[in-house]
Order: sequence, then C-alpha cells, then structure tokens
Amino acid sequence: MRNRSESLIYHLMLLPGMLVLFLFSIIPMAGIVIAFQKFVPAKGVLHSAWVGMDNLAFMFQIPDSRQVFLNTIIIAAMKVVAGLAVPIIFALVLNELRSSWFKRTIQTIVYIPHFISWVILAGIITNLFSLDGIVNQLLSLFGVDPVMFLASNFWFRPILIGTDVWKEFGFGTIVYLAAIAGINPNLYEAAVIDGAGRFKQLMYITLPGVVPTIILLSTLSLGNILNAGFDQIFNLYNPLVYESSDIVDTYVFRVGLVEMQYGLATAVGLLKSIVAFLLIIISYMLARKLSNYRIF
Amino acid sequence: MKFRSSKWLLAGALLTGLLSGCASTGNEGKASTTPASTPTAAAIETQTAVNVVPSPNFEPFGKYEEPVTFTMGLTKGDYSKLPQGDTPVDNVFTRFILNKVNVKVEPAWEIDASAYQQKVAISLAGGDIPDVLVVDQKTLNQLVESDLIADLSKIYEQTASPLLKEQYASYNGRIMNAATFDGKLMALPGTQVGGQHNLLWVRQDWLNKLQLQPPQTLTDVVGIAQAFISQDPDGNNKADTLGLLADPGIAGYYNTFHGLDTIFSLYGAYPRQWIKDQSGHVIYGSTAPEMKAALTEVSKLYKDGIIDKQFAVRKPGEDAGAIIASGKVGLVFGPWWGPYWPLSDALKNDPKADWKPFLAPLDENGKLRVYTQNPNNLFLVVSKKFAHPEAAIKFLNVQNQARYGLDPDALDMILKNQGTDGYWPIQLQVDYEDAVHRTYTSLKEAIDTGSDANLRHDFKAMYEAYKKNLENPGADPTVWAEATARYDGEALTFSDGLTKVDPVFFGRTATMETKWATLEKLENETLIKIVIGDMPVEKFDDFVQQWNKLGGNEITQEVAAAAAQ
Repeated sequence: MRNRSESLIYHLMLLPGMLVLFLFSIIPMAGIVIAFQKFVPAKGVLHSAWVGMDNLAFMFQIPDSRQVFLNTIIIAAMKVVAGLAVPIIFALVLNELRSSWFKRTIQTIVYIPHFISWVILAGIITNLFSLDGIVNQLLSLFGVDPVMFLASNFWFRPILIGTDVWKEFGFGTIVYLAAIAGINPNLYEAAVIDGAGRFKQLMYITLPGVVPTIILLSTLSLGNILNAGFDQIFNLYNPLVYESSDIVDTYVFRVGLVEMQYGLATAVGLLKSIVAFLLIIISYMLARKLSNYRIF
Repeated sequence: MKFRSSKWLLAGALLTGLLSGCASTGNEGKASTTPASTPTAAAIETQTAVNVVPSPNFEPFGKYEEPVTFTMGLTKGDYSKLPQGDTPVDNVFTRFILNKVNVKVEPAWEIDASAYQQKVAISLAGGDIPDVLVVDQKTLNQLVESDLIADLSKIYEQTASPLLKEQYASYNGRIMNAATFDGKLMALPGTQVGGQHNLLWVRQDWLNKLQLQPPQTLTDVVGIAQAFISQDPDGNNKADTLGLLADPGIAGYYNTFHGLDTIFSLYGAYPRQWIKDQSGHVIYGSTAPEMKAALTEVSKLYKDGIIDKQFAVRKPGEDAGAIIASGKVGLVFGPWWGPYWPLSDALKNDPKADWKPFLAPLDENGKLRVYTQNPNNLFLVVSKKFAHPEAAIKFLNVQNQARYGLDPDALDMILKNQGTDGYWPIQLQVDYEDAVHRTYTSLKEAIDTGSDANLRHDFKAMYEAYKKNLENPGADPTVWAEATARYDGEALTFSDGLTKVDPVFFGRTATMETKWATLEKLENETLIKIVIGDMPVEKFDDFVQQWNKLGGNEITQEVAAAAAQ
C-alpha cells in the first residue's frame, strides 16, 4: 500500500514531462506521412498525393548523393570522435590542477563558445582564416605563402572539425568533471597508501570511474552520425568547397528552399532518424554489454 | 511524513503549472479565432448588402448608389500611426475610397505577412476564399486550376482606369501573360519596374586624385582598377585597396550588387537567364557558347588581381558591404539604388567618399548591355462568388490614382498622412516600366526650373535632399544617398544608353522541381572554379554536356514550351 502511493507521487511528477513529450514529440510524428507524399501545403496532409517511396528513392538517385552522403558521414564521424576524445583529455588534465578557483574559471571560459551561434562564429572564423587574417599573418612569419583556407578542399574539413570541437568541448568537459567528482575519494586514499602515483591513480581510478559517462556520451553522440552540423557548414561554405563539405542537410536545404520539396525534406529527416535510432539501439546494447549500463 | 507531503506538493505544483500553461494557451487560441469568425458574420451581411445594390456600375470612377462591400485577406502591419478608432479597413484612405466610389472593404482574416501565402493556401484548400485577394504566381495558378476566381477580361476593359492601362502598356505586353489563362485575364498583375540593372559605381574622389578619366570601355575599367590597387588612392601608404568586388555567384542575379553581369553581356553572355539565341531557340544563358569567351576574360581579370582575390569566401552582401564601408574599394557593380545601401556606409567613415555611377563597360556601339527582370510579382484576384468584381478594380483605380498624386482631391490627405502608405488596403504596386527614369525626369525638371511646384508630392523630399546635398555634399549620408540615387543613379536607367535583352521565362517547370538543385550546384561550382582558375576554360564544354545530360535538356524543352505560350 505504502509502495503504491509512493510510486503514485513519482508518476505524478513524471506526468507533466510525459504530457509535454507527447504533445510536442509524439503527436507531430504524424507528419512523417509527408515523407511518402508529394506534399502541397495548400492541399494539406489529407489531400496531397501519395507517392510511396519515391521521395526516398529520389534521394539516392540524385547524382550528388554519393558525394553528399560521404561528406556527411566523414565529417560527422570525425566530429564525434574528436568531440569525445578532446573533452576527456581536457577534463583529466584540468582535474589534476590544484587551484580550484583556476579550474572553475577555465571550465567556465571553455564553456562560453557553446552559447555563441554559428552565424556569429562563422564571421569570426572567416576573418581569422582570410588572406590577411591572423592565421595567415602567423604563417607568413615562418615564410609560408598565404593560404585561402576556406576556399581549399584540403583545409575546409579540418577547419570544420577543429572549430566544432573548440565550440563544444566545454560542455563535455563539465560532464566529465562532474563524473570525476563523483568518484569515491576513499579509492584515492587507498591507492596512495598502496603507493600509487598521480599517473597510476589516473589510469586505474579516474579513467575507469568515468568509463560509464564516456559510454553514455558516445551512445548519445552516435545518434548524430548523420548530423554533420548544418548551421556551421551553411555559414562557412561556398561553391568552391562543395566537394568536401556539401552535406545532406545543406543539399536538402537548397532543394527545399528553392523547390519547396517538403516531401523530400521529410524523407531525408526520416531516414536520418531511422539510422540514428538503429545506431542508438546498437550502442545501447554495446554499453549494456561492456559497462553494464542500463536504462531499463 | 513531512518529506512525503512535500513530494505531493511538488507533484501538485508541477501539474498545476502545466495545466495553467495549457489553460493560457487555450485562451490565446480562442482569442485568435474570434476575429477570424467575426468577418464571417460580416461576410453574410455583405451578401445581403450586395443584393440591395441595384445594378453593376462599370465606369472606372463611377460611384455606386448603394455601398458595395468586399471581404479581403489582410496582412498585419504597423498600425501604430493610425488615429484612435481607425482600423486597417476603416481609415482616412478607405473612407476616401468609400466617398469616391462607395466601395468598402471588410477583413476576411488578418495575418502576419510571413504567414500570408500559407493562409491563402489554406483557404484555397477549403475552397472558401475571400472576395478579393493578393496572391503570388503559384497560388494564382492553383486558384485558376481550382476554378475559384472570376474572369476579369471584360471587366478590365470596361472598368480599369486609363492610368492603370497605360502603366500596364508600358511593359510592351510582357506583363499580362502571366495573368492570362486560355486567353482569359484572371487577375490584375502587380508590377516590378525595370531599370534595376547594374551600373558601375566609382569613387570620383579617387579618380580625381589619381587624375583618371571616367570609365567607358572594359579596358578603362581595368585601368582604373589597376590604378586603385597600386596607387594608394586612400593615401594611407599601405597597399590595402582592392580593385573590383565580385559576388560568389559570379553573375545573373538581377537587381543585386557585385554581379559581373555587364562584363559577361559584353560577350553576349547572360548567365542564369532563359534567353533566345540568335536562331530563336530558347537557351539557358549559363550554357550558351558565348559564356566561354566571357569566362576567359573574367578568369584573366581574377588572375591579374583586378577582381578581389577573396571574393569566393566573402558572404554576399554583408562582407562586401563592410569592405565598401571601410573605404578599401572604389569600384563596384550595382543598381541605381546603391547609394542608399551599401555605398552611403562609406560616407559615414569618410565624408569625401564620392561614389558616382557610370554606364560601363560599354560595347562597340557605346551602349551598356543589360537584361530585364520578371515584370510580374503579385496578382489581384476576385472570387467567382463575388457579385461585383468591378468594385475591386474601381478600388484599385482610386487607390492608384491617389497614390501617384494624380487625384487632386487626395493630395491634401496624402500630405497629411506621410509615411502611412501601408494603410491602403490593396497592397499591390502598379507602376510604369520606366518608373525609375520617370522619377529622374520630373526631378530634373524641378531642379532645372528651380521649383518643385509641379513635382509629385512624394518626390518633393528628393528635391529637398538634392538641394541640401548641393550645399554641403556628403555631409549627411542619408541626404547624399537620396540625392545621388535619385539624380545620378536614376539618370542612367534611360533606355537610349542601353541594349536590353528580355529573358523569356522566369518561373519553374516540373522537371526543375527534382533536378534544378543538382544543376544549379554544378553551375555554381563550374562558374566559380573557372573564374578562380581551379578549372581550365576548356572544361566549359564538358560542363554544358553534363548539364544537358543531368536534366538540362528536358528543362530547356519545358521552358521553350512554356515561353511559346
């Protein structure tokens, strides 16, 4: 009896969140049907013509689809990997600092770029990497000829990944620092008594202690394998680097904006969601097997 | 126990919060539907009112004996200047029209401009449109297909005012096609006036300083660019000035800054325009053989540093605007309105920045080769169910007459309500094709005679700006912009100095829907790569072949068929 009323309270607390989720995430899913229609807003979902899988098929028929998909996966995969590795390393290094005031300050500063929109950052990055920008000025000190970074298919992807990691690693760092803070201090004390140095402590206590968090964040980021970052690329690219940076989202944006092909845009979104869903299931199963991480 | 009750409290609070949130959204929902439902009542009233009116009246300015009311979809505007008690459909302008022809307008609904076409689409889907609507081309086609709007052919002949007809006639038949279906005029088109082609804007103060002649040919332009780059026109002893700015899209975007269109047209190339070639076949300008010579020239200009080395990575508009403002460039392509933006920004930093427009580069006949734009944008349609379609045209007659200062009764009202032009209920611009140059002509007449007595009311401010700028040139960038755009810029939109090519098609065909994004990507990539030297000009032929193969052929046929109609 006690148990039931206890759990009733928790369910009541959960109810608002579930309602919001239902209203704003579950119900709009009905819009998925647009992916199988030649959707005309004036006719609405009910009266638009059904085209079956045409929209999905078309996505693979466009001559650029190979290039676009490859770009998407390469850029996204590199971002996922770099976006996981950098915050871990940074958090571990930061954790070794003695002054907690300094640690917190750094932590806050590296978190700031997360809040700046790509529209603004793109302007700054364009400036930094322009012919007379600071990067080229530095290079000229070493006698290197100016490089047009943002017009070069060789440099464009590294710049995308580097700037994305720079913008977002502060967030991951905070999560890892929290995980590190949650490790039982007794473990460290015991290790010190057993004669473990800082590095040994790092390897055998801190790292294993944050593995569940690493797996959790990897799991979440695997779902992003088809999200190469529309905002960033759209604000930085130009026709010269389509070759290395035109991704599914930018392509669909151009198709959608100019041609107003809602059906195609929805189909692409649906495909991305399906792939992400499968990947999340796979990584959840991996996480469950590898680190005994469970949601259910 | 205390812990437990606090948990109950929390759960309760969360729920209440959510419910109250829902409740308030519910209220908003109601609030927004209420005004939408009121006009329905008004519409019913209208129906009865209409029945009372004895006979239709087709005289352009003939007044009905009984008031005629039509419903209309309206966009929400800034009505803060409206006097207390006035509404968008009941104000000094609408009362003026009511007084003149006894026609009233009621809102069927009112919606933000951004959602307007969407709302029209929804009422179209329901088959229940207001009596009068202003729609875009796509919606017009759908309305005709759904057989919801009235054939205006006869009524236009009988009721449209001479001014309206004359304005339409100035487009040499190019304007009515888009509104004509199977020989029937289904809408009154709004117009996009001509004369928005690129001029060459040059810093006259730099020309003077370096003792250069104004440009005429492409050689002159290149010479000036070289001088501007190498001879330190801004006098800061740094080699930081640029030659010619360019748009990453290279050319073909009408009525924008930094396109190299007039260089391409020297070679008879009109990128991104559907034109007829010499044998009369429809061809996409970017794939025409003339492009090759033009691209060779432009890529040479880039190689020689005449064109800004970094144009490819600059965001169109904003980045180039910043360069102009910082006074690092003295040579840009752009339409007559350039002084308003971005050129006046240069004056804010350097009042001596004296931008002047030139017709350049000129062809061997001494003319600037330009292309024209789509003369159509919006369309006024009347519901089939509305008994008095001619009332809408009368409304437009009166409105247009007053707006263009040709109705003496309206002058006083307009002078007293400056800046509230948006309160005319029908937001449809109809003007002469050469409206821009007409403005210049009347302004010049006033300047030459030294009196603005004959000047249209809305041109008087330009005359004032011109006089003010003469006293102290460039001191006030806003005044300078008005004077320079209207007097110097508009002067160069006269037809005699131009050779005009009329593109034959502006819309979209069925195949474009699926293939245009691919073709456009190929086009953008190829053009910019050839210009920048990443791709040899010889590859242009491969591009044309590929373009045709990827759907260009099909689309060209569709466009040819559409243009032949």
